[in-house]
Amino acid sequence: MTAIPKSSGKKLGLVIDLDICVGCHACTTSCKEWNTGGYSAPLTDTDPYGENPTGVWFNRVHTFEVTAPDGSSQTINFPKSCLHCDDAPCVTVCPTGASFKRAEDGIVLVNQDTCIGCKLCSWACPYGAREYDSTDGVMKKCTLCVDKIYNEDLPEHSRVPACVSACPTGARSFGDLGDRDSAVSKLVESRGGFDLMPEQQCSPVNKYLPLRKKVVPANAATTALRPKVSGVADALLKWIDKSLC
Amino acid sequence: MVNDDGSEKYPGGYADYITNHMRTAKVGPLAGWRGEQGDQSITGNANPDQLARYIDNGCFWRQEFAPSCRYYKFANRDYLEFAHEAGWIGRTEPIVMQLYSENLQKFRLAGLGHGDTLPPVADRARLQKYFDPLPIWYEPFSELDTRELSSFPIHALSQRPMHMYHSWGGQNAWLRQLTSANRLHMHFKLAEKLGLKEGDWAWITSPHGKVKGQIACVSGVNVDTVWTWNAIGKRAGAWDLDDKAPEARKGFLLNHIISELLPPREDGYRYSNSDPVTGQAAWFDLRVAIEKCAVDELEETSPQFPSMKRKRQVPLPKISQFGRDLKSGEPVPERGVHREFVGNREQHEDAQLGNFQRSPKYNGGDD
Ligand code: SF4
Ligand code: SF4
Repeated sequence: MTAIPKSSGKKLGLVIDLDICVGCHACTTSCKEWNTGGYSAPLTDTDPYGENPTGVWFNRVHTFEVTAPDGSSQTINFPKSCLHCDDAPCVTVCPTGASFKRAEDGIVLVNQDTCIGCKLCSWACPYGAREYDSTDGVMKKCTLCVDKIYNEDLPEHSRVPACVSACPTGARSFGDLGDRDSAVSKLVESRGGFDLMPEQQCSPVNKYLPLRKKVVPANAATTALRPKVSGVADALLKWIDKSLC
Repeated sequence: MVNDDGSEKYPGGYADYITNHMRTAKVGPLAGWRGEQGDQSITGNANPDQLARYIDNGCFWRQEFAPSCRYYKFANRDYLEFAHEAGWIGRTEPIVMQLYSENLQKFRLAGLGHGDTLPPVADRARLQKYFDPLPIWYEPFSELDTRELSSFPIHALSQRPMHMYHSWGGQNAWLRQLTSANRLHMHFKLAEKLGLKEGDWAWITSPHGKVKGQIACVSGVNVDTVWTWNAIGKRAGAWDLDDKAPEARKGFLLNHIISELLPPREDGYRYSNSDPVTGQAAWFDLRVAIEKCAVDELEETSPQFPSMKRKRQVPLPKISQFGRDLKSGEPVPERGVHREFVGNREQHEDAQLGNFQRSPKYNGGDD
């Protein structure tokens, strides 16, 4: 019911490296910190010190364990926020035009003044990225820190989303995914970045980078964990090795 | 802390303490804006306005090390002199990592009866055994009794969640949404062996006591080891949380079943349950047995203690809208412009470009 504008070609978004993320939640808490004073402020918490504390978060990290057929298992930390889809069903479903996609950079936003809190968009988003604020009665969501990335009060290097500033491992990159020559596009290209749930046909702008392949040496089971010592200059090491064993 | 006359030393509470306490001349808990005028860094007398300066700066004070201080710190003269002046280390001599520690050997020799100052006879054997000048591994004390080994076959560890690494505060409304109760993580195979499944309640027992907790099944752990998040479980009423808070009802602490003392020696003396050299508490030596709770047992952690009821100054809010007043509207001049503190990497980038203001010893950066 709300139209998606013709794109200017610029598509700001995030590239999230699942291989690097350690699940520390620095991005989720920084996101909440910035945004609870920003465009969609506040990010309400209910029962904050009680039995069932819940609240509005634009970015959440889910941690999974996956077991491969060979029995080996891996932990995957999966940070999830709005993916600012090109074909955003949350926008087209909106009856009032409150949910919209910006032509100039592709950011999907909700206008709090015209949102009637009908929640159709949260039903339409296949990623569960929308966050309903039941206290304010309106829908809120990741703004890609629109009030930070263009904020001229900040030094230039700070004009990236709060989650990108905070990530201690460098798992999050920000840039123009509409520009094939941008650093983020090249990163997606070189690492085989992928769309989340492509079958939903939302054409998400944000991309995820896969886990790197685990290389297990063929003789891993039989290789004892011992320091490798060889060569003539290593007499001292050998001696230490011997006295420690 | 009290003055000599018994009066309170820091009547203003913690704020008073971190502003005014000095553990040695000019060295206090906070390094920024020291000195009466707030113009000194790292060392300086207390500054009554210090906390206000931290608040002005989003709680952050920073100073970059001069490039000459940034490498081989253990033997870097500039760094060592700086660290000594800052009160971090006692001497400016290089800090050499010793594989063979003469200090430990001195203790051991004393244990062997050499020297003028000799330790009590009863402690000598321990000195001989554990104060080895070379790195050694020794069997955890709690595992020396083999009878206990067979009754408590599982190792139990605890670790702190990353998001709470620098904030144990259970009163943090955001962090407790991430973790307000902990479970005991065990391998599927062990769970199967013990007849447990995800979400079951179980008794975790050590020679020292028992605690009740809920099970989570995972595969990323050794089959004979279980682990849980530390510092999530809290006594009811702690941190001023509601008595029904999951921290008190579901969260549990392994601390309850770790003894502070080792079993008595022949003469009745009990050593501390810690590493004899460093004094590090032996948290990781814990061994437990795990047993599924009976069906009629309360699904709640145990032991429970009476709530730490205190008189609340303000009732617990049912809703928190932190930031509502920051929402754009008329600019509030005294708030100043938007600043980002976490990601402020300006100085760092300058440093990488070699664009450093040099002062004789280190760069007295501001920000
Ligand atoms: S992730 Fe969900 S909320 Fe974001 S643009 Fe796509 S459909 Fe809309
Ligand atoms: S801050 Fe970075 S490493 Fe930490 S959870 Fe977020 S993406 Fe992962």
